[in-house]
Amino acid sequence: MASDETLIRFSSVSKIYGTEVQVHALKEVSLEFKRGEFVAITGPSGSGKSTLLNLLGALDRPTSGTLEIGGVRLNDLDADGLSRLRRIHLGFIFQFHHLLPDFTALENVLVPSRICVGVAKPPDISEAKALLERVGLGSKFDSKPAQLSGGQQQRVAIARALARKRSIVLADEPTGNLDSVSGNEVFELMKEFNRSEGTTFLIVTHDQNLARKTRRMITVVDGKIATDVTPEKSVEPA
Amino acid sequence: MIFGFYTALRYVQSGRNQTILMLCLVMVGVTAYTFITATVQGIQSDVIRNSLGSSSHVTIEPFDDLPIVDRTIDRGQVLSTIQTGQQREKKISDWPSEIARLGELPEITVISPAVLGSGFVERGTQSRPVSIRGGEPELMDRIVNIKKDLVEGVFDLSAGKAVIGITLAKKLNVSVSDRVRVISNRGVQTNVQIAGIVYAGNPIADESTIYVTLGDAQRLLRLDGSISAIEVKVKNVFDAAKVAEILRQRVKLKCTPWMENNTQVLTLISSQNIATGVIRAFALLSVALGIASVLNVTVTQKGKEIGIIKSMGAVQSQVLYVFIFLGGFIGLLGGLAGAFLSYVLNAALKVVSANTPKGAPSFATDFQMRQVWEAVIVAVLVAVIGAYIPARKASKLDPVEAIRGV
Repeated sequence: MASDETLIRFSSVSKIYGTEVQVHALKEVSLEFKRGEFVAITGPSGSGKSTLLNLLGALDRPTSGTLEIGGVRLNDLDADGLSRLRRIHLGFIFQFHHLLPDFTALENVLVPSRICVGVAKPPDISEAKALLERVGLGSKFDSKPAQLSGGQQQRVAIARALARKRSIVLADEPTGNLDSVSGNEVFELMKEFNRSEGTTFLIVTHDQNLARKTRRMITVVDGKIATDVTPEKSVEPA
Repeated sequence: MIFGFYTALRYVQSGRNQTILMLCLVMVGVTAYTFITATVQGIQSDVIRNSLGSSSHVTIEPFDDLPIVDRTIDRGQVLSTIQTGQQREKKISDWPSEIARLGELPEITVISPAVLGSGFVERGTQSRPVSIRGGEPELMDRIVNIKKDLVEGVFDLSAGKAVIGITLAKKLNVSVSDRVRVISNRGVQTNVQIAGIVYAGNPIADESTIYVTLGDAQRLLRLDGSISAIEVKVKNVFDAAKVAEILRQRVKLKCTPWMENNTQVLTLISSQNIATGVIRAFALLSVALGIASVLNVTVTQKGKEIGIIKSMGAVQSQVLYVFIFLGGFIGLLGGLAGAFLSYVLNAALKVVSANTPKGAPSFATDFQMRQVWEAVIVAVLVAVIGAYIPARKASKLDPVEAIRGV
């Protein structure tokens, strides 16, 4: 369940690409995401979903407005500052899983740990194994991504996104490349981690059925928040 | 840095074709580097051995006797030319005192009194012009390496015994235990028994040198207990000029380093050094450029993976280290492989070219382990330098663009 702690805050955030020919990808967006939320972000192609996801994932900085993640203002951070913010707070699940092909399932889940720790502290192998067991891949530690099915690969991606107990997971079409059975399994896994760990999930999807199963659904149209619907209330931004 | 090390190790293991390609590049470069170094050093050692192996590095002898010209005529200048003509036999009479005055220097390995002159060696109707070289056997051996170069007989320079060069022995048709007559240019003659035959590798020394005791040489050349020169050997032949300069301060004698009489050798060595340096630099440059171009392709191929790693929080330096370590591993492995290959190549060539009278290789290489480690270290450095530009490119990749494959 969502708490009152605000993890992400957008205040009149705009994103403009290009200099001579300017594209206003996001226009004056104000949003808040609290700890433990399970949110779907939908919208047609070119609506600004990806831009929103990049900003939510600290992969980019806003052109104007203020964006805070975990209490840190993104506007003032350089590329390495954004990386350090991501390693603390953010996990990613991509449509095409994007596992590292040369690494085993266990090693893929260990990558965030290896990025963070130094010589003194070895990566948390027990945490990585526990996560893989929780996503049903306890027998696939040593399998390379090519040896796993699409659904299994996406489960490894979920385990990797949750490694080091990161508070926010951004999922970009996490079921878009899976059959309906595998898609449902992946979705249920995310829901389960949201319930049990209190991890905030922000899921970008075209799948309206999937979006309706979340507890908050945001629709982006033409770079603006068209609707922001929760079970309790529906918000129509001005 | 740990992340970079670990990830690079996996890339080495997984990227077989590119890894093998880069390893081959480094291996060939290091083989060329090591082999050319060993060959040139071998040639230089050979040249130095042939030029200096049978002679001293610093020769100390009396100054030439020059006529004194009176320039004290009133009003006017005296134009004079000094004609040296035939010099008297130069000798150092109180040579034990002079050797004591020379003292010790860390660079000096041996100081030896020498009697040097010329004459003929006769056997039956055969007569050959020779250089007569007399000395105290053990000290003389340390100057001219007789024992090491013996191909027949023993190193026995007691009174009435001699050692001669291999070519001279062949031309006189003599062997060990045969007796020959030695006639000096001072008209003194004596019979000596050949105790040993030596192959110095220097054609002149092998064709026209007879080694006898100091006493025999003094008698032959009528030196009455004096010597012709004091010979000095130094640890590093290139220190000879410096040592000669120091010794000039200690004795009132002419101290001549080998360089003054062997300018062609010096020119040859310095030319070889320049040529070797250029060849080695181009070999290393080829390795660096090869690694840079292969890793550049690797960075492009792994762009998406780099984007994912950065999305998980890797900072620029961590991505940089992945490719720097990758270059380092390739340099280390390729360097070791190249060093091993050049060792095998060198050993094979030594066997194939072992055709001198002593069974030594005529193909001169001087392969030293120090060169191998130097080549491996240089290979690692060059590979890391080659990897730097692709590594920097990878570290600067925008994760969004990398993941989307833009």
